[in-house]
Amino acid sequence: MNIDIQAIQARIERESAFVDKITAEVSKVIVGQTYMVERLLIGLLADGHILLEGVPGLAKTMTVKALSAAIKTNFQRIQFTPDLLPADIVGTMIYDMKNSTFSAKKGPIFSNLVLADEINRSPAKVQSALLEAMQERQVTIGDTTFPLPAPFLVLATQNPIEQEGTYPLPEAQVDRFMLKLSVGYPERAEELEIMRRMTSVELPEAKAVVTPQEIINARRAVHEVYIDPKIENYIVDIVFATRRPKEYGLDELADLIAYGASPRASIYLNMAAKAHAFLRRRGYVTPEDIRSIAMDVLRHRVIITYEAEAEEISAEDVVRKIINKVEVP
Amino acid sequence: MRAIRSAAVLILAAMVLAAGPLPAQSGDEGIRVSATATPLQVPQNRTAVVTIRLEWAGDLNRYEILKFDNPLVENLDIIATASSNRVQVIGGVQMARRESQYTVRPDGLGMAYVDGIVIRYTDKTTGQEYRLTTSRLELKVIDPLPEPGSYLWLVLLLAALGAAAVTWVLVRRIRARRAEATRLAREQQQQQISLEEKYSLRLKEEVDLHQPELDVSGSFARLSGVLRRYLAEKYSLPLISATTAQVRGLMREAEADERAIDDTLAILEQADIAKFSGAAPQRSELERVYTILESMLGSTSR
Repeated sequence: MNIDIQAIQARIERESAFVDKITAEVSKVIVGQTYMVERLLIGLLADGHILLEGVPGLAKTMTVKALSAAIKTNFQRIQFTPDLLPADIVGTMIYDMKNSTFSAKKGPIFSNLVLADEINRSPAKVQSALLEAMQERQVTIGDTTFPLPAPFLVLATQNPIEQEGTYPLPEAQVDRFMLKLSVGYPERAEELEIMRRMTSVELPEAKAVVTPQEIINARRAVHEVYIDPKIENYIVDIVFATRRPKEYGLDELADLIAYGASPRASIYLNMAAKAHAFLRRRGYVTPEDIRSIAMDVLRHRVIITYEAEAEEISAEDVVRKIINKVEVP
Repeated sequence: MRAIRSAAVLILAAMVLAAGPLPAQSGDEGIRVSATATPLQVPQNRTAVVTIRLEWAGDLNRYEILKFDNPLVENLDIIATASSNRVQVIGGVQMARRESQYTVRPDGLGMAYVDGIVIRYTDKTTGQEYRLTTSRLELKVIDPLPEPGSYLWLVLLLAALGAAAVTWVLVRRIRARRAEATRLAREQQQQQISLEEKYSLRLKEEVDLHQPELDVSGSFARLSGVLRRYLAEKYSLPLISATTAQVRGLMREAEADERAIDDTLAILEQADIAKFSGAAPQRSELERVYTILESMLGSTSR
């Protein structure tokens, strides 16, 4: 097999030109959080929804808003509350007095970028309505089905603390998110800069520098990023190691994993790694891309046992051990 | 005073014990009779000996002992009898002794009894006839002892097992010594060649540049594998599961030489392109990185 790597490389260079612009705009508003910004771009390029987890005040919402502002696109924020209804998200049929007919009133989900803030504050039926729309990329109101706009990306946030009165997302629902990000605190210097910037007279704003079409073109280029069979096997090895750890010399994990990652993990690892390579302006995927993205793809897909919880071993610890053990091609 | 009294009591007790079993009832002061059984606790499958002893001072013919019957026994069987006469001088006095012994075997567990027997005798000097009665003896019959031959098979089996175990241990030791000797010999042999020499040989085995139809992409993969294994062994680093980008950090942590780090990354980055980009790698590139690795293995010493 002979791949025209130079042609791919040239296309990647061309289509990835917007990455610097969008990063620069977002960094006008957001200090640091390069990991979160990069992962949001990966979600955008690989067409995968993202779940952001972190304590309040880490600029999760602000980052998403800045990203949407940098793209000439629609953005909707839905604050999930216990009394939210599915119709509040997807829309409903309303009666038109003038024409004596029912017409569809589209909900806030009909947007390119949707921020589902504190998704675990609403009951299961509301979560299901959102997650079904995420999966199907269409919404049915009354007897009419409406496709969701492209690009369509849901960025959901949840707070790992204050678990009282929340409705944790079931494993099957969490699996629909391509990435689950664990957002951490900024560094000291970053914190200083955040403080200065946010207390200045004029609050910084991001301007639209990218069109949705550029994103769609970039997505096509991401699909063309070459992934070698050796890398594909590496992905499958990592995913299989979550299911059959003993076969990979990880006997100590056998009793710690209740359920390994689903085939969706392999698909998303592949796609996210391609997007990661694209962001590095590379026309092919390397093991570095896989290792870089594996934790975010797998941490919510590996279900640990009670024994692991009792020993205070998290799913992240398990995934880390697997990544560090599986041989790089 | 008190000490003297205690000593007197002890001496008296000793004298009573030294006198032996109390004599049976006698009409004549000159003759004594005693009945004893040995042992007093007899296992069911063993025998005991009941002894009737008559003793007097003087000549053996001084008294005529009339024949007496065997004693009546309960829970016992008399299986043998014996009698003996003896004369000896004790403390300058001639003593005559006549003994009758009955060997008895128990019938069942529990208590067994030997009834007293009446012994009649005549003092030849006076012609007077007397009679004596021995005391009733009791024996306790206890559980039978194992017969010497009954556990012979068990003893033989244990002996055989013991012998087998000893043989097994010896064989294992001999084998372990041989294996250890072989291992040491192999180690000595390996120590004779350095790590660099070892991996130089492996490189030549894995990548043969003289082959006209060389699989260049596969050769890059094997070459980078040799390099990773060499560095992993040299610096004890987990380089097998590390990406190229991680190798630099790991080698720096291990305080590797900067030039070695640069050479390593030059090889691995080129190998990554060859392995993962899908483009057909050039043979000249393979030869270039081969030379770098060869010089790394040639110039570094352990």
